[in-house]
This record gives sequence, structure tokens and C-alpha cells, in this order.
Amino acid sequence: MGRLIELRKVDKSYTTGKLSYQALKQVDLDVDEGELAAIVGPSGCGKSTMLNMVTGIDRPSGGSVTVAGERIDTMSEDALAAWRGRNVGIIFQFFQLFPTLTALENAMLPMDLAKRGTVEERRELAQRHLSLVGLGEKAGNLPSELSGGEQQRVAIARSLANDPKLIIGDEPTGNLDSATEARMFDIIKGLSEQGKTIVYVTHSQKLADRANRRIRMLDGRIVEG
Amino acid sequence: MVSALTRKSLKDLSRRRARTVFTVLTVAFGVAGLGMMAIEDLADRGMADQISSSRMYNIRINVEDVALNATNLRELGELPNVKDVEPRAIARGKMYIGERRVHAVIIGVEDLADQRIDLTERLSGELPGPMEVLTEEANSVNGVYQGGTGGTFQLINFEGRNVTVRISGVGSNLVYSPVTYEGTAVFYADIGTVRALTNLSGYNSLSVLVDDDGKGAIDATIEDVRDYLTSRTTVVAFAELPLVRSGTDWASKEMFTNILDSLTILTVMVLLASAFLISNTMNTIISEQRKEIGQLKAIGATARQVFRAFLTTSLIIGAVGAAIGAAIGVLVSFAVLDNIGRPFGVAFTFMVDVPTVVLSFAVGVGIVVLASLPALLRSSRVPVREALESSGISATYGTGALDRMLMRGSRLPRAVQMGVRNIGRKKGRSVATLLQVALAVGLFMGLISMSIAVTKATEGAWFARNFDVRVWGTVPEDAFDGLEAIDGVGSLEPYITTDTSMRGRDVEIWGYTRDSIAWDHEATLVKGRWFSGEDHATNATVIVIGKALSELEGLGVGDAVDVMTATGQFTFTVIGIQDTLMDDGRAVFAPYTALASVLRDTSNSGVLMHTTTKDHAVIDRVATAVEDQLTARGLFFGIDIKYVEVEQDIASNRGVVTIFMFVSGLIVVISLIGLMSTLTMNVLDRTKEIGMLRCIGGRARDIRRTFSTEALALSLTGWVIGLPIGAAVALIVERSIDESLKMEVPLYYAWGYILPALVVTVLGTLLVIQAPLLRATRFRPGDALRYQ
Repeated sequence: MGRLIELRKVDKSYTTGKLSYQALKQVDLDVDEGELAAIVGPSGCGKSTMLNMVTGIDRPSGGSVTVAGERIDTMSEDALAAWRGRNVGIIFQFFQLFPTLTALENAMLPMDLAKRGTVEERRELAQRHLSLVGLGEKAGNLPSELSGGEQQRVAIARSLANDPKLIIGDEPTGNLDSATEARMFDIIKGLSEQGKTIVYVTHSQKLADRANRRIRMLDGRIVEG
Repeated sequence: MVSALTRKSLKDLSRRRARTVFTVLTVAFGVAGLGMMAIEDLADRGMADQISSSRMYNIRINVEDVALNATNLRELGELPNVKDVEPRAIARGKMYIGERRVHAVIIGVEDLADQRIDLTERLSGELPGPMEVLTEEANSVNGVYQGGTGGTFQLINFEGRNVTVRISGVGSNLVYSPVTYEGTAVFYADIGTVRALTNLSGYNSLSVLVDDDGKGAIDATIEDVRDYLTSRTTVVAFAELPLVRSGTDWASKEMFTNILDSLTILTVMVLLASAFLISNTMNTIISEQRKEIGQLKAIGATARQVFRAFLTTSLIIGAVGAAIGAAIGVLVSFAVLDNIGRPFGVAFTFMVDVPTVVLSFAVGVGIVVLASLPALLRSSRVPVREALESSGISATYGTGALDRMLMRGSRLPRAVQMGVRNIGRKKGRSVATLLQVALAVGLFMGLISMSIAVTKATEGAWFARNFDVRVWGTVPEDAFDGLEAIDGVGSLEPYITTDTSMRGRDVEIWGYTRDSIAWDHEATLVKGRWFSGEDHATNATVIVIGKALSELEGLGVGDAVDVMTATGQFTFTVIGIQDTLMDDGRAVFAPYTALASVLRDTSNSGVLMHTTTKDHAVIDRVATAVEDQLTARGLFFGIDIKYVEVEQDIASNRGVVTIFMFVSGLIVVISLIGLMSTLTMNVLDRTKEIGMLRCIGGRARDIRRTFSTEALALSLTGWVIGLPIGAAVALIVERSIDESLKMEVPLYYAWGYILPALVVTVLGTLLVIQAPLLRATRFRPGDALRYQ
């Protein structure tokens, strides 16, 4: 198993008006390929910030971030976007689907952006991903025509679009009822078993317990795992 | 201390600065258009000041050369109602500008250092000595003559010899500066200089100031002056109908006011475009805050409190925008005033019309508040849950036919598809945006059409006039043979023209000979008939009038109308109506013999000549040869070349065309700001989506393509809708010009500008989208996803 994520002495501070807030303090983190890791900790401890460092959504104020062998903290915004599209699948708490695109089109979108294969091939693959999450029948529906659980499943299908090594979940089931949450996690777990590296933030002890590795954070530092 | 709710209203303004700035700018540009309402008052005020300070005449009488001694002048000054009298000697002739001969008028004043009426103001240089002149400032403004202090020019004197005249300085005179508008250079000199240049020994113009400038009193004074001059001097009759100015009248006021009247419709259009834009903008920014309204209600705010909080925001935006707009309006109104005034030689000083500023401010704030009300009422009544779930997309998105239509086109690149579909997300905003573009395209097309129509009207005023060269000034009959012998001359005929007053309206009557071929009456007569041989033989007082005059005065064929001429009042019978645009459709023609009889003077006012070819070089040669012959005879005259006159007329309409262009430009700018504002709001609305797009691999070009597609689709649809609106605008403005200027402007649609309008629309859209696009592509995904 090779190393997929490597954070070294990562600092992140935010400045809002007169206030400056340090979200991450000298964080070191290594995640190997194929790991299923849960990041836990109280609100404001820096969990989502750390995910944003890994995905390149945010840039560190100090330190380095290497993912799949590439220093992403030094990439340009466009290069980073293209890299992210190819290498990372992200699942958000509030789904973040595009309301004017159908479920199938949402699931195809990362492939469109990466210009992967032909349009027909993208369509077939997206349809397969939707079927994998049990939404093959609703491919033509708009997000507004789907329930919260269904929307999150579309988000999972979308995260698989470019067959990324790494899937990141920022409270991926935080907005779902417990039955749906369990179903969602089964899908995520299945992906892990297929060899994907999965890192997710959760407030749920139950979900954290189902991970292979638990990383606990407090006040911007990793205190366990 | 202010409540937290009020503080929220205030802080909302700085929270999204770009949006606030755009909204304020939108309001400001809208309100600025209202400044145009001030122009007429400002012009009146400015002119009243200038009239008062220049002691402008009440009566100006042109006579043949008359010697007036000190006793005559004292006695004229003692006539009832006469406050002051001052005579002048005015020379009309030709000067050389390079090799070109140009009409020139030199106003000879007894003592330029001590003028009493129609004061000439020396703006720079020295008072002129012998064979020196002050050049009128408007000479250079109207491009007639650019020479300045210290320069010299050649003037043709009454003997036909070239005389060098030196310019001692620059001056301006309210009465004579408008003459430059017609292409004649104006100069001011000592009366001795004028007499040396002409064969005048006395005076040929008399300016009178009166105590009572009422019409009756002025008419009585004119009669007293006429009686005095005819009984005590060599004057037989006035050379022209006396010019009368009473009360707040001033030279060119009618034309000035008419131009302003035609601007009224444009002001209304600017206001409508602005009101629409403001309404659209306010509706957008309030609708955008539905979620916050839900949050406020969730923590106990009543609909009334929500209403008040957002109304405060609207009021602040309205007040700041209206204040900036009112200030811009002051500058715009003065710029337009200056633009209209300068060709007439009127240099207005900067003025502010306080009532208009106050009104602009009040209307600006009022429009913003009114425009906000529907959205405010709607938003403050929205149920809490619905407001909290507001997600930037209509709950029914995807169900309508339009949405389904926009969802077609699966072969398009995804970013383009998203751009097209985004149009259906907020239909109200999209419709308002494309209507905004449509309105701008429509007004642009309409006003361009009218600009072309005005030019065509000018051409239309000339089309039936068949002569090629016209001589102004009496040409003795014994000179006709010599003129006809000039190589290139086809034929020649005399004409008479005289200024008259018809039902209080200034009308120029043209007397043409029986067999005149100068006027193509067959092509222009719409009712009645042209003059018969019998009319000419019997000196019948019959006239053929222009269609515009016929409509203006309700005159039809067979009607009799009283006409005041230089020799008194006569009754003419209308026998025909013609529809050319000569004299703005108000030209009046009478038989030559009848007019000569009325004026008690058989001498002509000039001759009309036809050349054997329309070749400009031949016409130029003929004109020069005619000029040489007449000059050799010691005659004082002017020569017009028709093709040059047509070109000059078209050029002189630049003022109106410039104003049309200025207003259409203002509307286009207002619309572009609106478009930019809408696109910026779209970007802000979709900030999270931009972040998300970035998260899944979207590059800057994907984001640019999405928003550009949306903007271009909206503006292109707006362009399509705007084209027929342009036709409607052209029709409305044409009617308005017909009504206000009483000028027959042909209805015209600028087909040739359809593609340029498309280019302007596309380029304008691409231009204004750059700022929002830059904003969108610069968002870092983390910041975008955190955006509230």
C-alpha cells in the first residue's frame, strides 16, 4: 500500500474583519491508499478545514500538502481544479447538486469537465454509477424531484465519475435520516472494499466506529489517530 | 442607539458592495435622465440674463441706406414708447478663406466702446481700428471661419476689389451670432470700416428698445417709426418685415424650444428605461434575500418589521442613487444645453435648476421605493419554511414548457447547456433582463432611425428644387443676358422672396415666375393647383402652401388668409398644397407678379440658374463666373450652390442627430449597467455552485462559458425582441417631431443598423460580463462554498 495523502506542518488561519482565527496548527497527517478513515471531533476543531486542505478546496497558510504524489498546495487554481476533477470525488453534507441538471447529467458532469471518453461513454458510465447507488430509474429526474437521500446518492455517483483514487465526504450523511444514513454508508463502505481511499468527517459516533481508522481532532490539532 | 434590525439594514449595504454599487449606479443613471427636464428653464434663465446684459433689441428694422443725423436719432428716441434707438451699418458680402469665397456679414457700430443696444461683447484682443474687425466667437464654433486675433483675411469690397482686413480680437453678439449657424461668417467693426467696404453712406439697420413690449404697443411703435422715417428721411419703405422681440423672447428661441420639445419624448423614454431597470434591480435584490426573511421571521420578526427593515435599505439606496443621479443630471442638462446653444452662438454659463434637482431626487427615491414595494410585500408575506428553503431556484423549475425546451440540446458542451438552462432558473429576472436589452436595442434602433430620417428630411426639403445656382440680391434685368451667356448656364429666372407674418407665424413667401422650372410642382402638389397664366397676368394674390403649414393653421384649398408683409396686410387665397419639406414643410409660393405688386417693388430678390450638367466642377465654374460678372457690376449679392447647401444642411442637423445619439447612448449605458448588475447578481447567487463546479474539476474557462452563454442568450433574445420595438420607437419619435417641430420627417427604419446593433449588443454584453466573470473565476472553491 502506498501513501496517498501527506500533510506536513500544515497551518491554516482565517482572517475575518479584525479577527484572526487559526483553524489548523502544525498538522501532520498520512493516509495510505485503501484506507477508510473517519475524522471526528467537536464543532470548530478544524475537521472540514483539514478536508479542504486534502482536496485543495482551501490552501494552507503554512506547510505542505501532497496527494497522490503531487504537491497540490503550490498548484494554480485551474490546475488544481483539473487535478481535483481527475483524482478526488467529494460528497458534501448538503449534496451541492446542480439544480438545472438531471441526476444523470450531474453524475456525468465531472467527466464532461475532464473531457473523459466520448459523450456516449460518459453517459453509460454515469448510468452505471447511478444504478450502483440504486437510482438507475431516476436518471432523468431533476434534483428538485428527488428526496434528500436520493440527492445524496446522486452526489455519491458523481464522486465516482472519474474513477478517483480518493473520495472525501464532509459529513456525507449529516443531512439524512438514520435509515438513509445507514444505506448511504453501506454504499461508501462498498466503495472502500473496492479499493478506494475514503476519508470522511462525521459527528456520528456510529459512523466513526465503522471506519478502519479514526482521526480525532481538537483545537486545530490531531490528538488521536 | 439603533435597533439590531436597523443595523442589519445598514450593514446589508456594505455586505455586498458590488451589488450595492450597481444598484446605486442604476438609480443614479436613471435619475440623471430627469435632468433634461431642466433644460428649457435653464435656457430661458440663461438667455434672460444674456438678453438683459446685452440690451437686446425689441424692434429691429432693416432699411435701404438712409442718412440719419443727430436730430433724427434724437427725435426717433423721443417717439412714444421708445426707450432708445441705435443705428447700424451692416455689410453683407463675401470674404476669402484660402481660395474659397464665403458669405460674410460685418456689423458696423458707431462706437464699439459705447454701445447702447445689441451690445457686442469683446471677449479678447483689442477694439477694432480702421480696417480691423472683431471675429464672432461662433464663427469658429460652427466651423465657418477659424481665423483668430492678429490674423488677416481678404474681403471683396463694393468695387469688387480684394481688401485686407485684420482681426483685432474676438467678440460675441447675441443677435448676430446665430447667423453663423447658416454658414455665414460674422464680424464687428467700426462703422467707418463698413462704409469704406460698401457704398453705404448712412445706416441700413435700426435697433429700438421700448418701454412696453406688449404686441399692441410694439405694433404702434413700428408704425410711428415707419411714419417718421418715410416722412422725415429718404426711406420709402422698410426693406424687410421688422423683427420683433418681446418679453422673454430671444433669437432662435422657437427653434430651440422646438428641439427641446422633441427631446421630451426622449426624456420620457430614458425615464421609462430607468424605472424598468430600477424596478428589476430592486426586485432582484429583495427576492434574493428570501432566506434571510425566513430567518428573521423564524426568530420572531413580524411581516411589518421585515417590510420596514428592507424598506430602509431601499430608501438608503434610493437616496444615495438619486443624489448622485441628480448631480449627474445637472451636468448632463448643462452639457445638452451647451450642445444646443453653441451652434447658435450662445455660450451659457453653468447653472443649476434647483426645482428639477429636488424633483429628480424625489422621483428617484420614489421610484426606488415604489419599485421595491411589490417584491417587499411578496417577500414579507412568504411563509417561514418556504423562505428558509429558498435555494436560488424556483420550486417549479423543470416543469414548464420553457424549462423543458431549454433542457434540449444535449449535444451542446455541458457548460453551455448549464448556461442556457440557467435562464429558466429565475424567469422573472431573465425576462426583465432580456426586456432591458430589448428596450435598449429598440431605443437605439428607433433613435438611429430618426437620426437618418432627419437627414432624409433635409434632403427632402431640397428634392423638388431644380436650380443649381441661386443668386441672393437684386440682379438688374440687363445683367441677365451676360449671365445666360456663361458657359454651362442652361437657363435663368428671377425670383422674389419676402418675410411675412401669417396668423402670427413667421413665413417666407417665394415669388416664382409663370414658367418657373426652378420648382418641380408636378411632383409635389398634393391638393389644388399651381399658378395659372391668368394668376400671373392679373397679379392674383394666390398662394400654394406647404402641407405642414396647412395642417398647422388648418388651411385648405380655397381658404383666404391674411398676410402681414413689409408693406402692410394683404389677403391671399390658398389654391394648392405641396408636400416638400422646404422650410420645414411651411414654404409658401406666390406668383412673381403678385408678390412684386404687394411689395410695390418689381425688382427681384435674386435669380435661379440651371446648369447644362449636374457635374459639380461645371456648377462651381458657373458660380464663380456669375460672381465675377456681378461683382464687376458693383452689385452686392450672395451665391448659393445647391449641392453645397444640401451638404451643409445635412451637416447642420448634426446637433439634433448628436442629441439623438447622446440619448440613445445614455439609454444603452443604463441598460448595460443593468445587464452588468443582473449578471453580477447571478454570479453572487451561484457562488456556491461556482465553488462546487471548481470542486469537481471545473476550470475558469468552464465557468466563463457557462455565464457567457447565459448572458449572450439573453442579450441575443433581447436583440431580436428589440428590433420591432425600434420600429415602434421610430414611429413615436416621428409623431413627436411632427407635433413639436411641425416638421415633416419621413418614417424610416434603419435596416442597415440591424447587424451593427447585433455587434454592439454582443460586444456590449461581452464587455459588461467581464467584471462578473472575473469575480466568478477568482473565487476560491473554499471561499465560494462558505459564501452566504
